[in-house]
Amino acid sequence: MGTQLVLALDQIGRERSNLVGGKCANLGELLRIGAPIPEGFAITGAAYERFLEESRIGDQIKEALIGIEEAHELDNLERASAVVHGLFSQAILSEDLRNAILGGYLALGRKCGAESVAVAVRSSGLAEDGNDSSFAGQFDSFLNVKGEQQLLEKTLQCWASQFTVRAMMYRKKRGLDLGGGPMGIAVIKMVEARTAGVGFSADPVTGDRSRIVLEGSWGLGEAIVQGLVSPDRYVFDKDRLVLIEKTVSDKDMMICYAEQGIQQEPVPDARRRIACLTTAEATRLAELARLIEDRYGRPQDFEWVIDSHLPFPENVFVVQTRPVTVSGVRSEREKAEYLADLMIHMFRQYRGTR
Amino acid sequence: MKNLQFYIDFDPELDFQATPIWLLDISHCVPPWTPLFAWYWGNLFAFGGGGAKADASLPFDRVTLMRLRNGGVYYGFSLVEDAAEIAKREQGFKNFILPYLEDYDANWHGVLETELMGHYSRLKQFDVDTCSVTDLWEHVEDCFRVTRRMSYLHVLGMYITWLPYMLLEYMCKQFANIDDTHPTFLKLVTGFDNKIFQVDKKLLELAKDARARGVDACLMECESAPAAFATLEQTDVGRQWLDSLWTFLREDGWRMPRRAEFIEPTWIEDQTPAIEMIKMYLKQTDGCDLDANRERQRSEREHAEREVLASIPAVQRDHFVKLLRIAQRAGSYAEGHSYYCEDYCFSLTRRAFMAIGRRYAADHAINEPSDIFFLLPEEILKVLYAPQMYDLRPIVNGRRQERQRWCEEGNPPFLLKEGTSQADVGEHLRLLGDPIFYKALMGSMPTPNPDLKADLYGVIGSCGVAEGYARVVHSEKDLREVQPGDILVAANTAPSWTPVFHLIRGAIIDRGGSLAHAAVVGREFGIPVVLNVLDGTRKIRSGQKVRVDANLGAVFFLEE
Repeated sequence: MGTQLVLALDQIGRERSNLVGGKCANLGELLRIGAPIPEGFAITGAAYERFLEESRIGDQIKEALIGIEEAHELDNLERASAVVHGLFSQAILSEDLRNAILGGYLALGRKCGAESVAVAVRSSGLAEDGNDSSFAGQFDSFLNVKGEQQLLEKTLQCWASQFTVRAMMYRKKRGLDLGGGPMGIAVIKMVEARTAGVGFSADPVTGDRSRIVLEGSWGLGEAIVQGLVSPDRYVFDKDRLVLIEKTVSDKDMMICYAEQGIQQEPVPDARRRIACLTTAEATRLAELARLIEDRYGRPQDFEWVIDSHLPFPENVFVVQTRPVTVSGVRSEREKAEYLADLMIHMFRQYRGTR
Repeated sequence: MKNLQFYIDFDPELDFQATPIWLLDISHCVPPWTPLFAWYWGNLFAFGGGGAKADASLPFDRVTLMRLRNGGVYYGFSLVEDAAEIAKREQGFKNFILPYLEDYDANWHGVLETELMGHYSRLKQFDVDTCSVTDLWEHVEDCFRVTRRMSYLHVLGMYITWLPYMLLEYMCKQFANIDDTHPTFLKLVTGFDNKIFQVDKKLLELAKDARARGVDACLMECESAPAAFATLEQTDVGRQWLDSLWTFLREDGWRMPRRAEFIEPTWIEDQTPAIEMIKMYLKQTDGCDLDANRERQRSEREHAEREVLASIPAVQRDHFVKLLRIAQRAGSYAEGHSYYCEDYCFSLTRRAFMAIGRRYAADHAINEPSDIFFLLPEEILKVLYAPQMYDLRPIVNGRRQERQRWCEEGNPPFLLKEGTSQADVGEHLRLLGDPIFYKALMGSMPTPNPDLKADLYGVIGSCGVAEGYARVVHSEKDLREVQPGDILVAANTAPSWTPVFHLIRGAIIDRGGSLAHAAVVGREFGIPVVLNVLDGTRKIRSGQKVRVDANLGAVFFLEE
């Protein structure tokens, strides 16, 4: 592992995934192949290790985890989790670490021409078994983080999220080290999403590789990923990049930024039944789908965002990609996580709509 | 005679202060329970089931309180309002449900059957007749422990199976615009076997065997099991058939006419209900072949899956399919769990108490062994070592009379605090989001369509239309009156009623949702079922010609 604490996204690619984690490496790859991604930087696994060493938290974590194999496993895990979270919440970053992280943030602000630029702080797990997806959804991510103080706080919280009861139980069950491992963090400029969604460079259901499928909705992509709305759907012929099918749905809900974090809002009536993409935007996304697939050499499942302020075509961003397979690439764990979240959402809906 | 008082009796002052809405558990305690069973449910089931609910940590629903009133149990709920508590409960809920969503089979399938059947096999081996009094009471305590564990697993199983079912309906509403009364949705969840069906199939085999051996006429003519057995004992074929019957009963006879009560004998003690079920199979000429049905249902189901899947966004499909596979077990669990949970556990507990009852009756503390069900454990324990010194008959007689009065009066379906209306009940349940109440016990409320000019409105449990003569059935004893082609009318039905579905053309049920017994079984048999008509058993009389339209959710009286 290298020793750099912070790396710009254009300095990383797949070959650095053991330093910055899967998510960061993936963004670097996208940048390399010429896909438009939002500005950002990576906090490396080396930074995490340095933090553990300097703050002596590493030893304290080991201590807290001793004897956890004993009976009353859940109680023990809960206690250990509380202890470790306490350690992180009181920890202070060394001068070097602070400078490195805030230096990255400052450079980002300069590039974007703004101070205190709003960022997403996302954990980027370094998988021990070489399979990034096995950690997907395990650790926390924070949206709409603003200012130096918040960024440092959320960095610590991201690291600490390796020690939720859930994450530890997951590792324990798979015989992985309970103490976790180095973790990367992606700090990405938030795009003020007018519209967001997912794209598939092959039909994910039929496997038809002559098709590109886009699904989108108003606001942040979480609305679709969390299943809050029926998205609009665009189907393109991949060779000719011609729109062959367009379904506009009634999109009643959207997710937007709140003062802190995000919130659910109803879509104004006038926009509910209107297409969330222009034909030009949709076509640009289809082009990108083809580009990404070409560079990766296999069909891709990617997330995209349309910025509300920038003009076309600068407003189109790709934020994530992974291979698509007909049977799905998500692990059983990821699907379960998703369904559990959806159940919680269902409870809220039953509760909320009178 | 002083009224029986339980410390968990409904107390209007205190309990209405706790929550304004209390619901009668119509599928378990109508007609009213005996005092001992009420104690048993109100303590042991409340403890075990309450534990499972606490562990499930439903975000908006803290607990199901159980309070007794005249041999009925009322459930009260505790709606969580505080945002911080909700957030904490949501995390707790996620931790609870995740392993079952990730791998339902590994984390659940087999646990219920394997663990509980292990307990039952230990209890079964205990000889209740030759043991000492001390050991007999230890055995009763063992039954109590098993009951608590059974209750825990019973309720846990409902949450991990029925919450996915509720989410499936939620997603279907969201993306395909169909709910759990829509034919396509119902096809998604139809065509699955369960333990109760397997047991009933053995009864069907016994009926076929009786016909093959030529002993069917003897069974049809006899009024009771002993009369039939006396005749059958006289011939070789008769004795051979009886051997098969006993093989069946020793394994699967641990069931009683009522699912939740132990005053009536098990099939091992009184074989008449089993014979009646076999007679029901003998009555039918063109019986429903569930195995053959299943093939058709499978192809309809696959068609429905494709149809629904087409309207699910691509990004959701992976999850949706995983969810669908779990939710499709909801019906099998709704039926099958009765075998592993109620039937075996309550039958074995009955056996233990009857053994005490026989000893007390021999010592003249009570008149007959089943008097024991009118005493509470503390009262039984008080005289355990010297029943001959006490005459408990006045207590028993008083309580028998009191229960008679309870039965005549019946328990109201809701106990509502002043200022609360029946219309608030459905809303209250929806807010709680508990599938046990929302999808099985209560179901959604019907929306009457005045244009139809129907006589009753309900919700659809199984699609189709049928006409026939109504047969109002109040308890299992009335089942023998059901004729082929009848329309069954009941407050609710129980798993032990399943064979009657071979005879009937349709069913009209007072109370229940798409996971209620009648709905699940109706779908598997492919006959129309309308539920939640609320007072069908009062408005319809036996012999009246009716049409049940389970495509519209309506019942029409074809004659006055």
